[in-house]
Amino acid sequence: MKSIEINKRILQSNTEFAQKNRNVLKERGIVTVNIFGSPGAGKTSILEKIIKSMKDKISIGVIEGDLYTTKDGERIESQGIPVVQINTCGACHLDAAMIEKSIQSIDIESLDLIFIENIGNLVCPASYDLGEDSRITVLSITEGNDKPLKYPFIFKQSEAVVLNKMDIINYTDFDINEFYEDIYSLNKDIKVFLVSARDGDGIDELCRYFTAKVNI
Amino acid sequence: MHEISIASEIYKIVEESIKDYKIKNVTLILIKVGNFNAVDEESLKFAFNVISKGSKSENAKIILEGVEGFELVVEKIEGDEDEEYRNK
Repeated sequence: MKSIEINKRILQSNTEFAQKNRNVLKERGIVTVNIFGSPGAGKTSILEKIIKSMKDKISIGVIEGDLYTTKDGERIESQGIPVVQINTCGACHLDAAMIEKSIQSIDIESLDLIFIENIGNLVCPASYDLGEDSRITVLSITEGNDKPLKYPFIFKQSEAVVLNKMDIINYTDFDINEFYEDIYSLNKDIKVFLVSARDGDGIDELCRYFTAKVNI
Repeated sequence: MHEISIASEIYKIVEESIKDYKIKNVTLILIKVGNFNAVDEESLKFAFNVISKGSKSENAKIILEGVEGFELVVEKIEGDEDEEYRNK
């Protein structure tokens, strides 16, 4: 019988790809944001609003992750900015190798900011570094205020949480005080943005946050 | 849900080690899993079982050691040496 110490990191190959991506993006001064959130939280809708309001001042590209279809990619493309659609055909997260391919397939030289819209999922994407500068999570009112405690890891790693669908909060049992209490207990430094992608509330503040990242 | 991709990475690492250390059959695989990875033990074992069918690690016992944080490491494997190879 032989006992062998291996000590190999399981996602090592992903980490290597992520590091390569990070270098490629850093060299060109591109800020990259990885966006998490459940299906239907409003990731794409928020992106549409942000892009509309920022695209004249900042050069933005988007990498769209979905299991199937190019629906989201088409929505973003209609804003006239570069977009790559990744279809994972069932896989629950994006990995760094997919991002490497994506950034090779668009002209990134002129870009200031890349948004990566991850697969709708509050669990798996958190384990895969893509080479991004920061991670944000979109949570929506209809999902309920208990989600941060139920899916703590994604919120622990997020620099900001965007609480979407604020326009309908009064029609739900969403307890915003409990939400604040829970989210800060997980991550005391997390920034919270209250928005409504539908009527545009809070979008300006979110744009200022992204603009500040690019201007640093 | 990402247990399948994690299991196949583990399988790859184990297969490499089988070659490097001339192992006949793997009896144990010890994995360190940080809780931030939200890995479900049963689905990971199930996924590994499926992936390793017919290989030298198909009967390996998988032990998960839970730790705080993001770590995800194949710490060690145990197995019997390939006698034939050694005698060559």
